[in-house]
This record gives sequence, C-alpha cells and structure tokens, in this order.
Amino acid sequence: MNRAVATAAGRIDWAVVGLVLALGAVSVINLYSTSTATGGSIYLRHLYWLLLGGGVMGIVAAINYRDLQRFAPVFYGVVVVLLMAVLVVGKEVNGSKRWIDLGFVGFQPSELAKIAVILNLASWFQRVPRPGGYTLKDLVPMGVLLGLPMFLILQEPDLGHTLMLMFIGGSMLAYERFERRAMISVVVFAVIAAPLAWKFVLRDYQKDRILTLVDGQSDALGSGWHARQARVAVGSGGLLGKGLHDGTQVAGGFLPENHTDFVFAHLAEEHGFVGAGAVLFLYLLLVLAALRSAAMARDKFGGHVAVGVGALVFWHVLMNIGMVLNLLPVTGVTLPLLSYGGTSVLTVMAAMGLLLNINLRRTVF
Amino acid sequence: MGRNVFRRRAPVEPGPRKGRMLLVSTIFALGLCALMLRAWDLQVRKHDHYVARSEGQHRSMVTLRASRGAIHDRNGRELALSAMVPSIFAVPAKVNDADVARLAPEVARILDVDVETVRRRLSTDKQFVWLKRHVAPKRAAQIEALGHPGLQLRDEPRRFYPNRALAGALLGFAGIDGAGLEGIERDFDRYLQGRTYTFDAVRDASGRRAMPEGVLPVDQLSGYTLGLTIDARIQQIAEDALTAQVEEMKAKGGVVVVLEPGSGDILALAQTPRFDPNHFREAEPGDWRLRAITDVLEPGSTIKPLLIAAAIDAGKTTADAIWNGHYGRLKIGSKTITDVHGEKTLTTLEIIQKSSNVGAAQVGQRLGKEAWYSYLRAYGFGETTGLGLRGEQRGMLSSPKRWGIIHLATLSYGYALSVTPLQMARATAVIANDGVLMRTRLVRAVVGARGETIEAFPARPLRRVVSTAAARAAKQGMVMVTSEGGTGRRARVPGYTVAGKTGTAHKVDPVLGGYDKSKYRSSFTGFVPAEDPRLVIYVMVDEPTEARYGGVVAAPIFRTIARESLPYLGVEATTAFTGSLDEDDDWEEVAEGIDPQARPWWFEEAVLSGAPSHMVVPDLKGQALAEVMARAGESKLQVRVSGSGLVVSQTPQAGSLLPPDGAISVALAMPGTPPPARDPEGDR
Repeated sequence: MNRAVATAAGRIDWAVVGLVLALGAVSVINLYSTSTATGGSIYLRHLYWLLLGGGVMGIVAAINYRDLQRFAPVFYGVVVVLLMAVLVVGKEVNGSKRWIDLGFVGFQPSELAKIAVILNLASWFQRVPRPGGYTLKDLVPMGVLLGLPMFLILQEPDLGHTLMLMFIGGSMLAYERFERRAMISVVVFAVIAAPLAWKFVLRDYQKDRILTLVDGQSDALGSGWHARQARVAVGSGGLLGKGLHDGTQVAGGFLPENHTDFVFAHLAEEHGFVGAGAVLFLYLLLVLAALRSAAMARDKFGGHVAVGVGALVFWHVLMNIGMVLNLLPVTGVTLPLLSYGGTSVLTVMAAMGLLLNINLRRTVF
Repeated sequence: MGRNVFRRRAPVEPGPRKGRMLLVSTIFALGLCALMLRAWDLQVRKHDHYVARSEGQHRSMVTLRASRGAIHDRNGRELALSAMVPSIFAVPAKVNDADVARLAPEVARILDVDVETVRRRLSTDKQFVWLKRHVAPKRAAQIEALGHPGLQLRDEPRRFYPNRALAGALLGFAGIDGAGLEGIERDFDRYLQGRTYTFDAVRDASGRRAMPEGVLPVDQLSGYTLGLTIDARIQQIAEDALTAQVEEMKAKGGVVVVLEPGSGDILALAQTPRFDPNHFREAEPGDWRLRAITDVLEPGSTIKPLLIAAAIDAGKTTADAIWNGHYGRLKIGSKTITDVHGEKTLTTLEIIQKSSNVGAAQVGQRLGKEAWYSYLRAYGFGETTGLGLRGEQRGMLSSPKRWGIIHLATLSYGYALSVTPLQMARATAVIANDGVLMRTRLVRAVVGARGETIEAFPARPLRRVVSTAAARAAKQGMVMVTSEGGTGRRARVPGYTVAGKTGTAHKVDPVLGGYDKSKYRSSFTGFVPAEDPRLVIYVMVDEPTEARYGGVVAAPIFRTIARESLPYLGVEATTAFTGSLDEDDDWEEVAEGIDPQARPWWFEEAVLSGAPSHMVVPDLKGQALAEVMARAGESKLQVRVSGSGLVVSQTPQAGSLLPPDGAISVALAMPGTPPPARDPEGDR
C-alpha cells in the first residue's frame, strides 16, 4: 500500500499542481487590489472557493479511472436535466436565465456541461474505435452528444458557453482522424450554418457585440462601453503597469465587471505587458501540460479527456482575454481561476483533477 | 482490477498520432501568441494613446456638492432651503464644428447668454464645461429638445430664501457651488454643507443606462438642518416696525434685537437697510454685515439701569436714596456734566426715570472704578456672546487703571465704552431675568436628514450678575421710565407694563475724533411684560433727522414690536392702561374702551374699526409664507398652509367673500416645480 502511495505521489503531475497554485496566487492578489478599490472583500471569498476547489481537484483525481467512464453517461443525463431546469426555475439576471439559486450560493449548470461533454465524447471515442477514421455516419451521435447541451444553453441565452462547448468539442474532434467525406461535410455544414445562425439564432444584442468589435463606436451605450473601458485600462497599463493598487480604471468606477469577466483588464492595467504576458505564459504552460498528459494517456479515453481539458482552458483564456483586448466580441466567458465566481472555479479545479487522474494512470514507457 | 491501474502496460490501441498532437498544440500556442501580440500592441505600441484616454476620462469627472441643509426658525418655518433645479453643461468633445455653428446661436438664445462665449466653450475638446447653471425648467426643456448628446442637463441644488429679505443679513448666503459665503450660511457651513460626490460627464452624456442616477445616494449626502431660535413672525414684525420708523425719521439705518430673557434665545435680529440673499449681488456688501454684532456704539443712557442695579447689588445705595441733582450741572475736574432737565434732588430710581447724567455720575463715583468695571464685565461687555458668528465684535472697554476721574463719570452714563446692540440687549435681559445672565442662543439644534438630532444646544445660565433684589429695583426704575414723568412713554403698550430705558448718544466724528454734535444714535432698550418678562427688545436708530431723542425715535419701534408680538406669543394682557396719552394721537383711538384683562387689544381694534362681516379674499399667489402670515395678521385671517416655498394655489380664490370665521388654504411650492395636484373638492 505504501508503495502504491509512493508511486502515486511520484506520478502526480506536479507541473499542473504548481501552475494551479501560481494562478490561484495571482488571482487572489489581483482581486485584493480590485477589492480595495471598490471597498469589498471578494478576494477572501475567492480564496475560500479556491481552497474548496483544491478539495474537489483531489477528489476527482482519486476517483477510479474506470468509474469515470462508467458514470460519464449518468453525469451527462444529470447535466441535461439541470440545463432544462435552469430554463424553468433559473434566476433571471440581465435578461438571461443562467443561474440556479441554491439559496446560499448561485450555481451555473452550463459550467458542468463542459465537463460532461468532455467525458462523454472521450468515452464515445474509446468505445467506438475506428482505426480507418470516423465516417459520416459517426458524426450523427457525436453531433447529438454535443448539440443537445449547446441547444439548451443557447436558450438561456448564453452565447459564450454555447460557443465554448462547440470549440471544446471541435478541438477534441480535431485530435481524431476522420474520413475525407466526413471532413468535407463538416466544412460544408459550417459554411452553410454560419449565416443561418447569424440570421435566426443570434439575438440582436449578440449581433451588436460582434459589430462593436468591427466598429468600436457603434454601441457606446452597452457592450461598447465595457470593451472600450477594458481597452483603455489595458493600454494605459503600458509595459510595466501602474503598480498594485494604483490602477485608476477600477477605482474611478470606469471598468465594469472588474472582478469577473474583465478581471484581466485590471491585472494588465496594474502590472502592464510584463504581468499580462506572464499570466498568458502560465496559461500556455497549463495547456501544454494538458496536451502532454494526453500524449501519455493510457488509452483513448484519457487522451481525449486531457485534450478536452486543455481545450477548455485554452478557449476560456482565448475568449476572455480576446474580449478584454477587443479582439473578440463581448461574451460572458470567465478567465479560468482568475475570475471571481464559485461555479467557474470549481469547474476548472474539477478539470484539473481529471488531468491529475489521467496522469496517475498514464502509460510509462 | 485496481492494482492494474498502476501497472506498466502497452496501450491497447496506438495513441493518437503525433501529427494531430502537433496540430492541436500549434493552434493553441498560436492563439495564445495572438493574445500576446495584441497585448503588446495595446500596452506598448499604443500606450501613449490610452494613457491620454485614461486621463481624459478623469478630466470629465466633475465634483459636485449634495444639497445644503435647510435653516428653520424656532417653529420649523423655512428660512433657507435647497431645491433641485436644472443646470446645463456641455461635453464639447462630442460637439463637432458643424454642430457648434448650428447650436451656438440656438443655445445662446435659449439660455440668454453671449453667443461668442457659447461658441468658444463648445469649440474645445474638453469633456465637461458648464453652459449655464440654475436655469428655469422651461429653458432646460428647450435645451433637451435640441436632442444633441453634447448638451446635457443635471439637477443641482439651488439655495432659496423663501422669505426674501427676511433676516437676510443673519442668514447670509451660499455660493453657486453650495459653500456658505456670509452670515449663518458661512459660519455654520460645517453643518449645512452637503458632502461632495463626483459624476462622470462623458458617461452621463452617453451611458445613463450603464450608470443609473439612482446608484448614488445623493440624499444621504445632504447637509444637516439648522434649527434657529429666531421666530420668523417676530423677525418680520421687527423688520417692518424698524423700516417704517427709519423711513419716517429719515434716518440712515437701524438695528433691533429681540431676546427671550428666560432662555437667552434670540428671537429676531432686524436691521435696515435690508438685503435679499436671493439677490445678494445686487446689495451693497456693507449691508451684508449683521449689524447687531458687528456695529459698535456708545450705549449712552441705556446703561443707567445697569449701573443702578450694580450699585444696589454692591450695597452702595438703595432704591429710595436721595441724590443731589445739582440743578442739572455738575463740575467734575475741568468738565461739566449736564442734564436736559435740571432737578434739585433725585431718588436713585429717578436717575433712571429722568435719565440724569449728574445723578449717574455720582452713583458711579460711589461705586468706584474697579467695581463698575467688574460689573460691566459681568454684564458681558468686552467679550463676545459666543454665537459662533464670524466678525462679532467685543466692543471696547478699557482697563480701570487707565480711567481718569472724568472717565468714571462718563462711563456711568454710557460714554467712553463701546458695545454691540446684542451685548446691550443681553445686558438688559439680565435685569429682566432677575440678575442672571443667560448664554445667548441662536441655534437650538442641528438635525440630520432622517430627523435625528446631531447636536443640541440647550439654554444655559452663564452667571449671576446682580442680586434679584437689585435687578428688581432697577426694573422698577425702568417701569418708571415709561410711566408719567418718564422719558420713554412712547414705548407703552396697552395692557402690559413696560420696563425700558431711552438713550440718545452723540456720534463720534470719524474725522475730527470728538463728538459730532449734529449726529445722534437714538436707542431704547427694555422688556415686557415687566412682571414676567417675555421679550427683551433693543432698538437703535442711526442718525435720525426728524427727531433725535431715544424716547421719540426708538421707543415707538419698541412699542410696535411689543404690541404685535405679545398677542402672537399668547401673553395675556395684565394691566389696565390709564394715564395721559398726549404724545400719541392715534394711541387714544386704539386704546379706548379696552378691557385688557379680557381680550387682546387687536380684537377690540377690529370691532372698533368696524370690520366688515365678510371680507374679500386677497390674492396670495406668488407670495412667500412670511408675507402671507403678515397679510393674515393684518386681516385676522386664518390660514392653513401646506408645502413650502411660494404660494401656487389658494382656496377660496382671490376676490371671493369670506365669512369672519372662515379660513384660507394655501398650497406652497418651490419656484420651478410643478404645482401640486389640486384638491378636487377645494378649488371650486
């Protein structure tokens, strides 16, 4: 037994643990700074969520590998029910129902949906191996698996998370081999679906956000304000930043959502390009650590889960920081670990737990 | 099974291809590199641009003050209040050149300001500039109708003095940014002033939605309400009486102080010329000063009762002691002191009644320099009254070591020292108050926005100056002043016993240094009713030209104020008035047939003057509350008041007939706010 523990300890991916600790520390310091500017103490609550998340990470890492696969469909079912429930009993905030109010804390089922999709897609790839590449017919179950939660999340409406699921699923598919016909079909479908989605699926304010990106002045009242203020915060930070507690955009009340979606703008304002670049580099290391786990996974399930987790981190970072830097439209996508928010932190920590779990059972050559 | 997990074994299926791994890694790495490049672009390459933007935003932050607290009189009537009125500002950065050309003449016309000024202000690239503050709502609406995002409104508190010139010099005024500049407004600024808050002109201009007005609890930032001891009604009575007499006597000005002796409360501080703090710029800055505390003058004969009380208290004489009158001429050193009416002998109290300088000089010599000096200090001369108002004078009272023999004599009848009207009034109150000096009180309480008391200033005795017996003796002498053979008979009020003392002082010639024999200050100080004093009234008229004696110039003002205030205060008449009224022709008519024990005098007057059984309702619209109350007092109207500000509607309407026991309802509102919805049953 002792040997097993020792082996397990030796197999823990300390790079992942170290990166999580580093990002956690950055987030608490950064939120401490916004807290003093706005007079709150959310940095403390964020710290509690991180500690709780550490526990979740450990538990997920310790779950029996086979049980992960076995209970993946059950988990998926629960998530779909929750996604339906949120449409009915969800708490309406700013016109959309994304939250289930548990009384003491709010909870976002769409965060869990990402984990469910990762586990089930990976499980499906494991169960249906196609050495010659996946066929057009195989796209149907994959599409249903991915499309059902996407459809439900779009009803909330939450475009950010819908796209997030699509990108994570897409990344996992990109890691797999397809027959030529299947690949062409996907491309053709995308080309036809995109304008249709623009016309029929997207709501006006969502279109506005995308247009804002093209023309920064077009929506000075709404999301344009957020985007512009974020840009000003980042740009005025400069190379070295204004220094901890010396940011003016938050203190002046200009930067909205400064502890959640736009938390990176505050970081970039106070710590400049050096600080922003360092955080981006930490995320890059985390993504690469996930892909390394994928390469070393003992089976297809583990490999795909690791790719999915890497994609989750990557797309969150890309969409959030892309939004802050005015490269991408404003969507309510959080920055992993740095954004304040219980569900988000716990989801990311659970994903990290999956990475550790896969690493523990990796193939050692 | 679990043991298998950690066992080395070959993968069941070959792992994903290296190529795919490379593809996904590359996409992820490129994505993050793109972010890195964009960050470099914003933070390093365009850094200067965004620093300017960031600072520009802060340039658009404007700091304003929340409303000042109100000033209330002792009955909660508003003397000063703040109401929200629109101000117009521009965000010039949002107005392009074509718009400037188009908008400037329009804006200038609507706001009635210079076109060039507007053009110049709009042509900058600033984020915020005021165009005109505190404009009429109609004009604000016209600006709003222009619909240009660079022209914006913001409600700002504006100071109103609803009673116009009433107590103007006492209240002072506050500037446009809500800082007190004069009077109570300045000296109690720390209570009245609202706290500051900032708002963002640009965001207000473009994003009210993003930052709704209600986010800021501006109401909670407003200043405290000041509750004064002033009674607006008595203040009005005092101002009217003073103004009328100053005009009649063709005098330069005048001051009235009304105190409540028991509490030391200041009930009125009137002066003329008056000024309206709503339009303070139109008045002479010299008229802004509160003359009751800033002007110093030689008290003259009004000091004699204080001397007599001091001498009796010191045991140097008694009320019925006999003094040599020296037939009105007494030589002291090289100087000769004279009286207007020479007497052979005088009792101590007759020195007060006849205002004998010769007698007072002898009493002063009996009392001695040191003693008279310490009594004068005890009466409160040579020190401020501690009201907390800036500019209050201590007056001049030199050390007895420097007094010569003639100084003791002249100090005994009120020359060679200078006092403020307020000091003189509160020294008179010592006699009224059986020898006890009360702390003079102007502010009763400071009240917060939710009605909570922030600070209270209770009435408090300061010290006993003379014994009760000595004070009562001096009081008796003062009653004799208004009785047969006294100098102040014109201060008499039917139904009440008046105690008082006249004073007529030469003014000091500011050029020659000596006394100017042609210029006088006529004064009267006294209290009523003598048995249980409720009002101490000090009156001073500066340079009257029609007459000069205090008993002729100032005493009638005392009488008018007392006559109108006592019934208002509900003080019951106690004495039947008997005696000659030959000084006053109008007096007789008013007084005839009055039974003072039963009814207040004015009730009888109304009956005597044959008031009609019905009266025509006057038009009260646009009038301030004080004016309405004054009109009501004249016409014996009952008035029901709602709201505050100026009268916007009344029931019944002007011109209709009102039965004698009828009442008028008036609704008041601040200028600029829409009138309250009319009572459906009322206005028919």
